[in-house]
Amino acid sequence: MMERRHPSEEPLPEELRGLHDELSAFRCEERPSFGPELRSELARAWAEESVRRSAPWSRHLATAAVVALLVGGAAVPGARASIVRFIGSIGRPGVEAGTPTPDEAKLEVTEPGAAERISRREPSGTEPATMAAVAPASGPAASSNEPVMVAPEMLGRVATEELLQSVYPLALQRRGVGGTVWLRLWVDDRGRPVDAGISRSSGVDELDDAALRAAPGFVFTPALQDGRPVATWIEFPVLFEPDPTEAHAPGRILQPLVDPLSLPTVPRADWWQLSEPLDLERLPEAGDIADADASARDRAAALLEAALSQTDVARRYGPAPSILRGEASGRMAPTEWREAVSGALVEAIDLGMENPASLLALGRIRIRQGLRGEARSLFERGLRMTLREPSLTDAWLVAELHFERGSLLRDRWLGSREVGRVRSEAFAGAQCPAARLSGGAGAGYASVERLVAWNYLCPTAMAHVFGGGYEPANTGSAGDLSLMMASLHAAIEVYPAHVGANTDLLVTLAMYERWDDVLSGARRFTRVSGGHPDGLLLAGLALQQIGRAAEAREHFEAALERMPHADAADLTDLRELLGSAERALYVRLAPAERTAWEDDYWRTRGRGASEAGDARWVEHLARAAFARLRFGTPFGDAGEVWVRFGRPDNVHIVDDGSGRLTEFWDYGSGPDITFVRWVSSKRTELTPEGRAYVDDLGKIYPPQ
Amino acid sequence: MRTEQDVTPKGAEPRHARPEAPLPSDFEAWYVEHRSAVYRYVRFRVATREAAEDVTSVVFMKALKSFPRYDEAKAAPRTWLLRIARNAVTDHLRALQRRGSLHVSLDSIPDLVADVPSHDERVIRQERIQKLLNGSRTLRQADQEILSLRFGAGLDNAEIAEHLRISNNAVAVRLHRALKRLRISVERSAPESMDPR
Repeated sequence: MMERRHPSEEPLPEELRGLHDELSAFRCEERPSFGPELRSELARAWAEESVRRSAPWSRHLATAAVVALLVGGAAVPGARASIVRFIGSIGRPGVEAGTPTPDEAKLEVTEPGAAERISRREPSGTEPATMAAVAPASGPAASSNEPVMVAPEMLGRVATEELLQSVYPLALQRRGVGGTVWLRLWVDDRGRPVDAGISRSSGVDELDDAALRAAPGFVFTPALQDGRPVATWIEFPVLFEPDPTEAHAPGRILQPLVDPLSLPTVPRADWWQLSEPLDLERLPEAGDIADADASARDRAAALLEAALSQTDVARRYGPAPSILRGEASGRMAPTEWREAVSGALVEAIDLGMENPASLLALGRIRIRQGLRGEARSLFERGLRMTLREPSLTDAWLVAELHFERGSLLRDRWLGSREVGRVRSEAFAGAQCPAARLSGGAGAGYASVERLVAWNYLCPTAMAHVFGGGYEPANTGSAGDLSLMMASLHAAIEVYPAHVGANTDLLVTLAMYERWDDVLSGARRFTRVSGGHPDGLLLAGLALQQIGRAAEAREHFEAALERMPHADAADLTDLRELLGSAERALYVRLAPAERTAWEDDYWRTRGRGASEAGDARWVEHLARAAFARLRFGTPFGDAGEVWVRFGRPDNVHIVDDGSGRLTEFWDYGSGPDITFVRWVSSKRTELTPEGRAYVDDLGKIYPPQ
Repeated sequence: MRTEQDVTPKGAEPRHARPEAPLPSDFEAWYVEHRSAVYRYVRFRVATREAAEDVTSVVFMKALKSFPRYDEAKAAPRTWLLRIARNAVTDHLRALQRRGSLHVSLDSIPDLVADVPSHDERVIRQERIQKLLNGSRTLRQADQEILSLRFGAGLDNAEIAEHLRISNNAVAVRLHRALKRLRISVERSAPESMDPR
């Protein structure tokens, strides 16, 4: 029997004291022979290990391959790094003839940022693969004086799996295209790959590129030479293997790639007729909209509760609909709530009790916890489950999973769309004496600080700089756009009235000014949703943009009638159009007084009396509607500028490399208005310089 | 060539009592010093003695394999071993959960004991302990972890804090919450009084 010690360091409440004492009485008897038996096994294993350590290179290679297969490969289903082939070490120059000892490689090990240089090329150095594969035992490595070498081992199975899965192009997965890419990695003495090349192509360029993109993220134990960490080359086949259940499933898990700027098609006989002009008088009552999804939500909540039945989480942290939304409820702090609920949801997964609803809930919580990659995997896993287990498939739930996946992709797309940088040499011909201290032309790319300063000091010169030196970065945003739109299409096709998917899809088309499509899609959305106000707003926006202001006005007014009062008040809010004195008065008004002020404001500007007057009113509503749909609110910084000045003539977006984007909104005269936006965020805020400029504009040129 | 029989006559000491091939001296010392704590920690988390033995074996095999890379600056030996144990338990439970229940019948718990004088009382205590362990397995992983470190491995708050890299105060808070949740869990599964008396 084993002795236990149990200091009780803090007083427990009385009701827990008994339980504490009971647990403190926990004893377990080891089988008497267990300890000695295990010790014997350990000793045998150690003896075998010692023999292996002194074996020639061929043994090292075999061991490394097997170990890596076990450690790295077995648990990586879709795209796996299967075998590490240990090639050799250069930790001690001259130890091994024929071992690659490139000085440049050693240099790269010590240089910061070396991983960024991993590129599609043959690695530097000689031919390590040949050395390792062909003549390991014939070289000095086989001599009795050979140092004891231990091969690197891959670490982090789960992370590696996620990494490889994240780089495996979805388009290829869907087509069932896989392959093996042999990477040759230089792993430094801390186990980090700092140089990589392709030693054997898969024959598919996208897969080769994907493997190279993943390479910097692999983590190894360093190779050991006489117990000392050393850098080394390894050869590393990365196997991309499409999931057979996904590639050949009877039906689509993820929508095949679509024309990103097209409308979805729905297998419904009257689908095309749904895009005919709306009869606004015959729309269903607004009250019918709110509960349209209620029964679907209830079913999903019940499904979620089934996943949590063992842990009683729904009772303690629920109600289930809140958990399904990933939103904290009750009196718990949100962070604590998320930790507790996500723990229970993970436990349900560990117990094999997960279902699409619990995966949806956990994914939503993970987004709030900053784990967006994991969230996406969870949504995709949920989608795969809905195919494999049709009994769990509920159209609304499937649409929610598609929509959440699409939203993540949308954030990523917004983080890379139209991002570029400005070549420093573009400043060469520009004149801006006031900015002389900010430096002249140089090599490389201009800093964001310099661009912002020039923008406000010398806007004319800056227009010249942007005109000649702005260089869009190749960020792959087109791919994200396609994937995002494919997800939104899928959500709408399975659940045509899905509000979020319809709105995001149509706003995206609006960003590309595809107004005919926006109008057509908005009409369908409005019809199938029973008259959702966002559908009416989008239809109104499209009509306004194609010059049909009278129809646009009818749609906007129908939307305002069907919206909650507070939302409607946001859209008709006038504050951005008022001078500072009037604005101060306006914001203090009671709602009814504010409505009267607004009516008076527009009447004095010709609403109802002239076409121009009506057009101004409609233009304001169109701007406010777009700001609400695109930025989430007409009152944030971006919404404020949009409502006040409308769509900018041009936008330049510059990435300073810190995950922060700086946007330059060009309105044709004066400086561009500058905003800062964080990647993967819709929030767009004025820079301090931008705020100062906009405020000054308000003082000098009060809005009319 | 000498065989085992040449050096170990039949009827002599059991095999494990013979002089063994050496282990690295530090590792040998760790094994002697920390095996029981690791075993108890594992036993607290898994359903049977056999499973505890298997997982404990895995822990020390992995530790031995990684021993040349052990960095004293990063973790004390016991902390390192218990981290390996945590991963091994997680792997074991995942494999088990695919096959069936985590819970174990009260008929198969002969290794759980209590210091009580009578056989009957001992049986009652054994059942109660097993119920508590079964209840603990319905808790979230973090709760199970802290309970098993405390009541399985026998670590005090400061040692748990070092192991989990959190403050002593945080350990106390988490322990308190875990006990509370365990109490609720056990009450729900067996509505009798929590009072052990």
